[in-house]
Amino acid sequence: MIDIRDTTFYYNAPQEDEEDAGRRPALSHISLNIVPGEFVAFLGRNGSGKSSLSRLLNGIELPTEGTVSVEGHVTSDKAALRSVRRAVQIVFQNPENQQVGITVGEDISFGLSNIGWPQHDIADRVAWAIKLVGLDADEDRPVMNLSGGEKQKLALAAVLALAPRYLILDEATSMLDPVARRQFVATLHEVRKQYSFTLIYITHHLEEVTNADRWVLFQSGKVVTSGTPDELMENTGLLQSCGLELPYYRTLAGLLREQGIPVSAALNERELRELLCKSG
Amino acid sequence: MAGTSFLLYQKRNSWLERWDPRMKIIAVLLFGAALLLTHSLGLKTAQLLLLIVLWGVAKLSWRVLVFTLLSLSIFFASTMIYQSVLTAVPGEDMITWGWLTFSAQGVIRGVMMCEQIAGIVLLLALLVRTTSPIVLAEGLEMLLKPLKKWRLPVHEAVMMFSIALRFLPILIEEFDKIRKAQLARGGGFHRKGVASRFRGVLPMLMPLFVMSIIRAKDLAVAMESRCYQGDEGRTPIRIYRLQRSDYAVFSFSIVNLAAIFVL
Repeated sequence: MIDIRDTTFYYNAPQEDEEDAGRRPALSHISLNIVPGEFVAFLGRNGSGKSSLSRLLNGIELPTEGTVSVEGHVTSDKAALRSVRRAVQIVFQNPENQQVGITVGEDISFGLSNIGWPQHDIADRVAWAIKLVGLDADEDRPVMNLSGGEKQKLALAAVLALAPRYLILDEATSMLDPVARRQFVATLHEVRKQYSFTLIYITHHLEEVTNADRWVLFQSGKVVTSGTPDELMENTGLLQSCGLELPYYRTLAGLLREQGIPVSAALNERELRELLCKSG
Repeated sequence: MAGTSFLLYQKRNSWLERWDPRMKIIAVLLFGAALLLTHSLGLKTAQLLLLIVLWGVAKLSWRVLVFTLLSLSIFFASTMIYQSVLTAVPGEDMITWGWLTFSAQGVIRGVMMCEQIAGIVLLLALLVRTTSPIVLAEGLEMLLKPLKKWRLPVHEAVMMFSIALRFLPILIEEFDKIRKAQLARGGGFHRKGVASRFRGVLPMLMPLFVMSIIRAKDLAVAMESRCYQGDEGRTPIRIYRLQRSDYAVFSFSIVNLAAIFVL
């Protein structure tokens, strides 16, 4: 389990004798639990603290106040840092800035080498990871020759090779075109069927996380609320105040209801399609 | 990406790619030393021809070879002028061609110097284009391992070197994008006049510098999050064992170096 307790985080913490003027914490008094197997979505505007929290979970940044612990290991304990990072892996926004190797194989091997994976098994593990994400490339293919979507699949393969128990996708689809984005999300759900891990998905696109177990809404470094997607999609005002837009089918359902057409508030994409087909 | 891909290693399954990286680095050092120490025009020419043959064996593009040599033309021209015209010593055979007077011995010195420059560049190009940066880094690290005893950050230095090679084409592409963006806004390097061109360089270099810093920072975070903590507890990705061909390459490099003292 990931346990975040009363955590406050500043990128540049003010000194004790210094005025706090002008310095806003990136995260302010956050308390949150994430249980194994859960699919949680962190939602909110840019700068609301979602990505900062993800960096705290992997121990890249340490809390200024409070504690973050992953499966009992506190991230501020240097001795436990490797265990924390093995358990929690992140796929970042820009695929190009997270790839170290020249070829697909070298990039996946990099993390395996870091964690001391048995040398004789590295090649098999690389092949396994490539197959798992359905990357259409052999291990000798240069990373530069991959498309944006393929590069992000490679980033996913490279972190999954390390057998993480928690995977954070930090706006991992935001630099992809719509087709590549859909393919990446489909791949992710396929992978989750074969290989179980807790998923923390950071995004602005609500339609990517309608099947999440829980949404956590962030605003100005604080958790505003959390709940199931159906519960929170009811509260359009709150979503808008957090800079989020409902999926198009939910917006359409609202407009239809305003016109007096009896449509369920919890309408999903498939139901809308059926409704339109029937009415036609 | 096609515009910059020639700068880097691409797998071609050539004989040179199968050489052990340690032996490749040692061979490059020995061959480089032989090139610098040879005072015989014949031997230097033979060494250069051997490098061109190796270029073919490595299945590298001949177009890239010509481009590489042409990119050195300004050095060749200035070297020839310096050696044959400006540093001509009294007593040397002087040749007059139209208004130009130059030294015959100076021409030979110039040709040898040009061969030396071309040889060193081709040697390094062969090393970089036939060895993956990670393999090259592993080879360098193994060779420099004894320096770790003096707590020199060998692993970190080698990792920086391999990442620099990895990001070189990306930076060149980014520079091209910035250049085009500046051109579209009426700035950049295309204007007439040396002063205007010079002033146009800074607005291109600054964004590149800032982008490089951001990229380096992002990459450092990504590496750290993938459990990178220097060479502590790392498994070698490959195990290297010297083959007969590696010993043959080493022996040839020694013979080549010894030849300059014998001939």
